[in-house]
Amino acid sequence: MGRYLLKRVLNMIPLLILATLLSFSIMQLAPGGPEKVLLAAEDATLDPSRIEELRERWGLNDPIPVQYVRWLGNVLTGDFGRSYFYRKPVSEVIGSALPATLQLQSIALFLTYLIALPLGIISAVRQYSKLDYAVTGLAFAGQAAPSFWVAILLIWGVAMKSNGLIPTNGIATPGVNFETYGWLSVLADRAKYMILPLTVMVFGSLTSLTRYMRSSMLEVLKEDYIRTARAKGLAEKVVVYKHALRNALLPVISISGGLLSSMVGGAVITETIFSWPGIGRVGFDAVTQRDYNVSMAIMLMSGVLTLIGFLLVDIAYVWVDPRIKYD
Amino acid sequence: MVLAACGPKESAPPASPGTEQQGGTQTQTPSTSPSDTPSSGPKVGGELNLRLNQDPDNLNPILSSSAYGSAIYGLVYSSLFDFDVDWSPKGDLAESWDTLDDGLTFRVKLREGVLFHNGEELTSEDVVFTMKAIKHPDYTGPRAASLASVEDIVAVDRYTVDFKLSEPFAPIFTNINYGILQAKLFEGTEIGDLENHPVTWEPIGTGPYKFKEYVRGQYALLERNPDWFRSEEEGGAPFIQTIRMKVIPDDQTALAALENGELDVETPTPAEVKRLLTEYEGRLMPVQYERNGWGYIMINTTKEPLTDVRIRQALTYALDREAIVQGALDGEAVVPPGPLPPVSWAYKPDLQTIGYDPAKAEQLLQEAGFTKGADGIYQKDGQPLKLTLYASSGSSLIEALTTMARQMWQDVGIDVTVQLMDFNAMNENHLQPGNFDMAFQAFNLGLDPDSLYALFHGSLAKPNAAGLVTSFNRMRYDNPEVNALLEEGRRESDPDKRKEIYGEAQQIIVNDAPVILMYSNLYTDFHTPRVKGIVNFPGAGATLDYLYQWWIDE
Repeated sequence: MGRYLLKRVLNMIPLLILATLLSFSIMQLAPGGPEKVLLAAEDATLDPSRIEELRERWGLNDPIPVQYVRWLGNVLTGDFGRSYFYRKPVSEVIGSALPATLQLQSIALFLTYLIALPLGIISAVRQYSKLDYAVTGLAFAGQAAPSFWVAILLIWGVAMKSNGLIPTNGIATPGVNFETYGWLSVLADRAKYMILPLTVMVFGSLTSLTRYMRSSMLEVLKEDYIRTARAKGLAEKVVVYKHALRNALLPVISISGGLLSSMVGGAVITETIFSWPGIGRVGFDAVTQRDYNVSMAIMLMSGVLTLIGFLLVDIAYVWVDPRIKYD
Repeated sequence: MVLAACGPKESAPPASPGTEQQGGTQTQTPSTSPSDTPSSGPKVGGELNLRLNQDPDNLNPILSSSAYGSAIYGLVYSSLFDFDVDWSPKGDLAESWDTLDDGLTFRVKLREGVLFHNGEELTSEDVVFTMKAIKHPDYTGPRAASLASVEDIVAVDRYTVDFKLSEPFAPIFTNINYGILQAKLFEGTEIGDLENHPVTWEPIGTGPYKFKEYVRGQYALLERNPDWFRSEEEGGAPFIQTIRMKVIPDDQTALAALENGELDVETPTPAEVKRLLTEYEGRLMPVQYERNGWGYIMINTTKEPLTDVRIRQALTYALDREAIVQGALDGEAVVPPGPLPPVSWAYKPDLQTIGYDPAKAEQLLQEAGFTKGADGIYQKDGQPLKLTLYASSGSSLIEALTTMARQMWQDVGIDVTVQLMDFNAMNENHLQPGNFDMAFQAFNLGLDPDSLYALFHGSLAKPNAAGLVTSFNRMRYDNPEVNALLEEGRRESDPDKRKEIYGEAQQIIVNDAPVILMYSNLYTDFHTPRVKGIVNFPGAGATLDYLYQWWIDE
């Protein structure tokens, strides 16, 4: 197992380099650069000598491979460079946005699994029952309804009708902090800001997970060993939750590998509509503002987390499925 | 106060209140919105909730390039000048100003006793430091271009600053109008390292509001400066105690927040205006204003047969622009009489305009040697009058406008094909190489009539080595008379004489018809009724530049 892990981690390095090299090149090939975004604000005709000056100063005139190697070298020493737009270190820009995203995404993820897995199991066990139809219907609605539409609907239909109980947007009431208020009121304050974005996110991601769980469960329930278990006279609960579930979880686990990276990737649309100050918006803005260093750092982060996510999936396999052994 | 990025800009229509706009001022007789009938007069207090569409890039008036940075630092810093409601410059930090040495020295006398928020006095050294920082070779901000014609900045005495110019430049007011930094705070800081100075995120200025706090992604908080240097002459202004600017990136969310009372001022998308006017009558107050700029059709003046001024005039006479404004813009716009809007001090009131006159259009075509063919299309030497109009795709406004225009041209006998395409592709493949007959675009003007220079001066019409015209004069319009007038307008410092010069230029440009000015949008800002004293600044609506006059009536 140890040797396997080491091999896996070493394999990640060339993959990461390839992924970052690709995104680095694509960013640089997009028309316009940070210097144009900056100067266009003031000088619509864009004085070419000023553009050259800034490109030279920021090293943007060097060939892309040279720039990439320089960037990679700096990253290896822990220096992610500076944001051209915000004019401060990238680590500060990302550091100020990441906690808000992690907070929202981890709770959303937890709730999604908490709701989706039981729903999937129940609708598989009671296939074609009213409950199954209801869950399937809900799942399709969640898939079909675009998140921005659901979000706007909730703002107009819930927040604005709540007499100020549920805010339309934001993350916290200014001034409500642990120093002056008790932790309970702070928690309640944060919770009321989170209700709507969480609803949108959970509703949107519930679908695929529920459907996966359901179909995987259905398949397992048709297996011979389930019939054998039932024939042995085992209680249905034991059959489903002990024998079937563990096998049915395998495909669900394998699709969960990308979850870690999507957590830090943030949800651009949800964050934008609810004015949630997270990393999704920072990444989106960085691309439109050609803020190369910020977008590269986010790209790298989600790349690393994607690979870690799939590594964890492999490790989880061993735990769920004793047949699998890595040597 | 506030920056003066009044240079011409090309942009898609609407922007948000007090963000796109620059310039603002004290007024003798402020034109407040009709809803304001002060019952008790301005009073100090209250909190105002404003929207920031995005996080600011930074809060340094000479480094920031974002409208959302300027919304904040514009209230914290003062600059040399303000702009009155007729767009003429007024003193902010400047007490008086004068042009010396045949226009090569612009001398500004500063007010005495102006204090920074940290209690230090503002002097000529601060002005010199700020301007020299912009001109420094290591400076990385976006403002260097506007100071290009300023050769040196000299402190004559504690309260006098001279701007040495390379050539006379009357519109200098907007070019040197940046928030003045406190030189002392930057002692020992390299100009190239300015962005790392704490003041870049914690601004200290001389403006009506003090900076309190900024929380990324959430809000910025400003507090009334009771010691503001203009407080006395402005009747105790500013009045509102705290300004909270909330970061709300989504337009729909912002609209919900406005209707929910979480925002006090917002510019909704044009499609929402009519609904808000009726549904929220008496609960949300409209501030309506004309855009200082226009959607226009440019005509390539170097391409046959458009080199003939009569054809260009005929194209203009053939269009019923009032009907187009009604049809394509739902009446939410006006037809601009000439290149400068009537609100500008430089507008020529007796301008002879080209109106809708299809008979006149046909007459001009005939004078130019065209005869009507059997298919109803004019032709000359067997060549029918066929033209192509390029415009950006993806806008229902542009589709409606070009469709209507095409039909009107067809009616007088001009066959126009409309080609809709991506904006950048249109620019690069057709407009810059001069490979077009006509094209539709939009242009925003600055407060000074010198804005016309960027569009209509012949020196900008010459293609570069690659055969491209990258300036805004893609009509390739070059009239020596207009060139001379636009140059004279830059040299002349007497406003009355400038008005005459630009009046003449406006008339020639209208007669030469290198552009057909289609519409200036009508925009509407909305504010909650508790906010009083809002000034409707022409071209900018409820601009924050006048926020010091606002007050809250709870």
